[in-house]
Amino acid sequence: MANSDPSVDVFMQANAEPKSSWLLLVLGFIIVLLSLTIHSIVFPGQNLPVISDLETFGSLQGQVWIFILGMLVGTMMILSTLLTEVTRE
Amino acid sequence: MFMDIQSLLIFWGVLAGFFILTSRGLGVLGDVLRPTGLFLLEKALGPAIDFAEGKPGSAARAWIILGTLWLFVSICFTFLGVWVGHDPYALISLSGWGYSPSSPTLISAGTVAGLYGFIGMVIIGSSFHVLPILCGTPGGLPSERNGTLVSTPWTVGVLILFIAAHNPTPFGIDITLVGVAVMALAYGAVLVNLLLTLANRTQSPKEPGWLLILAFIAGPASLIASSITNGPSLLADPWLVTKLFAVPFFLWSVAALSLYSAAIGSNSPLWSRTLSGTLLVGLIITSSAYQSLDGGLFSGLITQVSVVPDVSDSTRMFGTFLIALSLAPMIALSANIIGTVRTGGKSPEITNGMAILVTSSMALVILWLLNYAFRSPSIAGLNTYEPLLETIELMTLWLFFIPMAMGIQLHLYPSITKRSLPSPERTRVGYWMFVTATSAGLICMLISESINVSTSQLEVEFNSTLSDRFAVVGSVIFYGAVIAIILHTVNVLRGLFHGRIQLESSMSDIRKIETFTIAESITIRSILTAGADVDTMLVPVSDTEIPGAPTEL
Repeated sequence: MANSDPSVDVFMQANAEPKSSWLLLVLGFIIVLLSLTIHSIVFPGQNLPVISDLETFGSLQGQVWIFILGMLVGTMMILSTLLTEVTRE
Repeated sequence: MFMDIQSLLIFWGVLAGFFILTSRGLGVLGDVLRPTGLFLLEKALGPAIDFAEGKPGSAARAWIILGTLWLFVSICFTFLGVWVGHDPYALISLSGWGYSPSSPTLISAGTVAGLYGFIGMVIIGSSFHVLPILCGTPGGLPSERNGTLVSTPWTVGVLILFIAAHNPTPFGIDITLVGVAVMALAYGAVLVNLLLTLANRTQSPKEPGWLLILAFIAGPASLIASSITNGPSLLADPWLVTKLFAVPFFLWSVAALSLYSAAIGSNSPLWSRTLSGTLLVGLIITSSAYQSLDGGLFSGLITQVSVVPDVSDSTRMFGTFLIALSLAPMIALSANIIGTVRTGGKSPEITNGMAILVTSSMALVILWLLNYAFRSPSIAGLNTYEPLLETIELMTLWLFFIPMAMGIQLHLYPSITKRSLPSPERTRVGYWMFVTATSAGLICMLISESINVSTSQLEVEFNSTLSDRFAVVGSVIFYGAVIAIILHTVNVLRGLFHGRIQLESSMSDIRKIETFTIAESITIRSILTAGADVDTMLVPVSDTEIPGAPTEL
């Protein structure tokens, strides 16, 4: 005769699900990782197509203005918060 | 350079004298001084005092909100300084407007804004809130209006120092001293307010209370000690700032406030009384030497333009001994905060600042070791690692002092402003971004500097771009801290208007808990400190899901 534990029915029943957006993110991450691994096996030592042609951090020399733009946006966010909230009806 | 032994002894003597006098009371003199102090804070200012709000908590709120704005200024200038370090012509186009700062200038300006603007203002604002609670002072802060009002001169003082970091003599006079004088004026009023809080106490200040009040007294005590031994000429030197707002003011008060926040925020009593005692005594004895250590473990942050006189070898040896000994209070602080927050066994919460307190506590010991390892040759007179010290000072500021102050601010924000932060998600994202960006970014910069030091010692032509690459990657990663602080600042400001209004009972610092789990022998004092009252149910650990041996009752 099989032992039937009533708690099995309670605890082995999943009710909640993770958000679809997180599932997609994780799935995307795994696909990227797999692609990189397969590329390194099939084309050892070769650059990645398209991605390797993009300039990354090295091209940011002299590009401080991109970051200053971000700071200015931040300053505007802070100032607008202060101004709009203080003068709010 | 170290404080000479004679000054150090006088300094400890003044602190001990203050402790004895305040513990025993001043008798009739105290009865005279109290109303005089209150008169100075309120009536003596004439109509100026009417500009300030006098509602309970308004002083603390003004200080921590203004401090947050300085934090944003600080991170922007620090980032620019770090960037200009590897790309000296990045801001060359601004020279058309007459502004062509170097990397050290921008980093100094960022440090001034971060140290005196953010950390200083959070310390003072939080002390206005915490000290009356620890002392059980009826009515809270004696003069909320003065507390609010003096945040203005302090801000003006920081602004002057901020300008002085760029150009100390814009009109042919040294404005550093003007900035320090304006800040000292505000500091005097803050000190009188806090001393009145202490004088009106109904109980002896609880655990970190003495450390907090001694942190405020240490500046003037240090000035007195140095004036006695070196003569009053010291008062006209920019080095004054390192005496008045020195390591005791920053380190002792941040230690005291973080212990308070850890205990109240995690709803647990302080983990160890022995460690609290070690911290109090250890910091007073050992870290006093920091304040005049040339480019010292912490005072290096404060030294901007001062020329420090030399000291004897015996003083140097005594100071080095104290510095080495200071590892004990650092470990005590770190262990006590982590132990307290982790007492319940839960992960520290990010939204109430516990996570960032734990993170910066862990960073403290590592930073101490880094500082000690790289500064020791400097103390001995060798400048081998001098180029690394600037990055190590940045790490000390951005991985310990500023995150600690942010943790204190996050914890006290609801009880000071009577509102919660509007977006917990923004706080969580900000926390992860800040911790990752500052640690990874600054480590990359340290690696870059280390490569430079190593290659310069080879004394051969060595062409490598590795150091530059690390510097670029480090500063790009460090930019994450800018975004994190924008999120933090906007959250803090929006909270003033959109934060959920906190009920008096939920934000009270006097905690009430419904159940308390007993896992081992525990005193009733610890249970009461944890927030239990007569209605709290005591649950032996055997009645819970937690595995363990039965509790003997």
